[in-house]
Amino acid sequence: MSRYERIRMSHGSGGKLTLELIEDLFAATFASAPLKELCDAAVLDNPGGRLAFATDSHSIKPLFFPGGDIGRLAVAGTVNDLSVMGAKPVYLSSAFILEEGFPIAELTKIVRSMKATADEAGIEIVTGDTKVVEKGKGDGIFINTTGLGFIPDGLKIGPQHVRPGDVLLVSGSIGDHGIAVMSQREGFEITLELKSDVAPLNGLIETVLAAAPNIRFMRDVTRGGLAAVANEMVMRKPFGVRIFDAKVPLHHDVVEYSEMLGIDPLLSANEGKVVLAAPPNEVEAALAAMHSHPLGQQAAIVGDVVKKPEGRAIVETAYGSRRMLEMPIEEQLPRIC
Amino acid sequence: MCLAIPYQVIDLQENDSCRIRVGSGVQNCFIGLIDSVKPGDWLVVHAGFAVEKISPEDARENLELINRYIFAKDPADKDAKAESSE
Amino acid sequence: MKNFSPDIYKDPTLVARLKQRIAELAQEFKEPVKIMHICGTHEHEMGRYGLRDLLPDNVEVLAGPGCPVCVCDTEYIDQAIQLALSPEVILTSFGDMLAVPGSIPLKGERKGDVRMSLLDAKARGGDVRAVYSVFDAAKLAQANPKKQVVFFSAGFETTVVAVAALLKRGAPDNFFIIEANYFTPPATHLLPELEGFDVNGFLLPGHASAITGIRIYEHLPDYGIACASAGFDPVDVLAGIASVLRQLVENKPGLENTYGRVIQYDGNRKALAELDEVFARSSKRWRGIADIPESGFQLKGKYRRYSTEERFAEVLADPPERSVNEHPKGCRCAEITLGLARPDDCPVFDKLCTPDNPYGPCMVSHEGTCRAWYIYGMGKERIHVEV
Ligand code: SF4
Repeated sequence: MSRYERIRMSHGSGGKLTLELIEDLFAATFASAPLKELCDAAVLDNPGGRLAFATDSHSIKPLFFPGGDIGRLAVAGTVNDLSVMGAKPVYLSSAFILEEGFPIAELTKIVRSMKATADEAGIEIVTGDTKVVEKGKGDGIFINTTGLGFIPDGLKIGPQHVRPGDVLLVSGSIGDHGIAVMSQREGFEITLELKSDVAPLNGLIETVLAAAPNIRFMRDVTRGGLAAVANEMVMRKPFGVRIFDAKVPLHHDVVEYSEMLGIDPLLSANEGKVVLAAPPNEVEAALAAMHSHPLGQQAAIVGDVVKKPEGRAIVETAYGSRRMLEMPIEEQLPRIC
Repeated sequence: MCLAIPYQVIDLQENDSCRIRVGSGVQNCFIGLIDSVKPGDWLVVHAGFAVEKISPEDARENLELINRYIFAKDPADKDAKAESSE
Repeated sequence: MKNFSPDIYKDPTLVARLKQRIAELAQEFKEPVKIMHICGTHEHEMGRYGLRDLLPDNVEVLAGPGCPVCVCDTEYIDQAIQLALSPEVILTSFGDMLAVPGSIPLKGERKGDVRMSLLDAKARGGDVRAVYSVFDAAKLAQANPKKQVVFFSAGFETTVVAVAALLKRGAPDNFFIIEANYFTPPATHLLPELEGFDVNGFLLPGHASAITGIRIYEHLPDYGIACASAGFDPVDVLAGIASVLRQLVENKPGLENTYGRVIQYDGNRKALAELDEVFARSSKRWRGIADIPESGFQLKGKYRRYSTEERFAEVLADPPERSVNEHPKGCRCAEITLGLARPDDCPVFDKLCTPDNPYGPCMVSHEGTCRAWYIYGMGKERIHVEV
């Protein structure tokens, strides 16, 4: 592999170069037993119980951004999807679509970052795939990850378990990833204190569930921000959700840049925050558990589940006025007016 | 129609521009339409350029107007004046 | 300047006191009071902070023709699309304009009288980029000397002064603008003459007035309409409303500046001088409304060379097929923009027309009235919460 500085079409041909890439980079870095055997499928132990199974494809510009990179994003994204279902993530696959000419040094950095994130989450990357597309037909690199996790017995998590009176909590500041990435856009490129919050949340979520086993709903905040999660929770349900916008933790860079660009921070993306609905008697335990975890220092109560308006998410402002909170519809773009 | 926000000037730059502080970051701002900008001044910025400068007197008067004229029944109300200078 | 703190204008205590003051003033009226703002940012901020929810039932704030996206003539949108689709062009635009349908029919994709937007041009291979400022667009021209960079110069007087300043100081040779800038005051003057127009007060635009000053609005009180120029933070908006109500209570409709920290009576003279050097006033078509004399900006003299109409005259002489109706069939944007109808008067509001599938322009822009009503839920009813 070291013979080349950039990806060539033959790195995806299934031949010698593919093998070199897998052995020297992927298997060597991910260092999991099934991957080292280079079989067509990973053969895994099954501890029994219910399985959670999730997949997600990742593309992002720029590939490296303050606080993370596409590799960390690809691992954390799938780990978080499993974790919010109450599952304990165990195995991950990773499939790459590389653009011809992509620097192998960058690929190596990304792969190492995936390994570091997987270690942080305590999971193994056990199988993978590589394809190469012609120059100009891809955005450098796309990564798909698929994950498996096991769900402990007795958990009842999902919007169907939510009740009016439940309390909405977030594990920390909202909108960090969206604004951090936007700060690196073409023609913008500013240096901020703010970093993307991309992180695997399984540790935090395990801590919370140990302290508050009757959590009714969990969702990691991603594109669409808190607004999307709040709307998903109540859509077509006989209850609604109310967010107190003054209580939502926000980094001051998120506040300032949202204001400058005319976008709503509640719609800006995260990649390392979880929203959960707790029954009233477990709110304190859940909050304390989050505060005890490094990723939950700024956790806060931000709202509650209400009987009316049904099926809608609303915001109650610092002024006591109310407005609807929209389900995000498009990419957030800077506006003039 | 026009989103514009007050920011404070850090320093002056070439080509009729200055740097303003936005959060922990720094942005460039065109100041060709404003007279005598100094570091520390507050500018009202719309889409990358300063629309106006906020003078300390105007800012004070603005707040006084809101406090005094709006709240008091009589614009010359003494109590209201005292209140606005708190 | 230590003693200026922008946060004071967002202060909940001041807001609460203004709310109370407005409630007191409102008790003096038997009839409902209608106040019109003419600035989309007022609409947006009112929505975001839920300010209508703080007003008494008999005080209604409606949106006038203050959304540049909503009033932009289809001819400019179509021109932008046409240019975006020519391979030599990079089309730059404020994000707001990208999803606005013009009048080129978009066949086969969705039901109804659907028209192309710049996003559709992008999906068809056009190089369309959202920029934050005209300066960014000029930088892009510098960085891409082999391309023709076109800036879709939409917006009102606030936005156009930056274009004037840039061109006056010299822009790259491969940089051109679509002259879609509008001037608000002439449209405002038209309103009181409209049949069925029954507005009692105006909230005059904040940042547009920072450029023009408010002297040009002096004759509005002659129609018995109380005017206040207002800023955009919650305290500013409510102060403007309180000022209008107070003038009406005292039966002395006038012109008050409640945003004096930014607006000078005669505006920003330096900006106006540069504007005058680069642009002339011209008659412009306000979408679906009328041709309004003196209501637009057109490059003049030696600056005409930056006009897409000069540079791309040949391409533009051969326009694509266009629909004859300015607004899609049934869309009531024009009346809504004039305060003569409300979004819920439109039969397709929240049905065929939603923000993810905008049918008319007022559903596109963040400050379009239909969109603001849709996303912030500003129907006739308040939001009732039951815990
Ligand atoms: S809802 Fe508004 S934008 Fe949509 S068609 Fe009706 S008037 Fe036009």
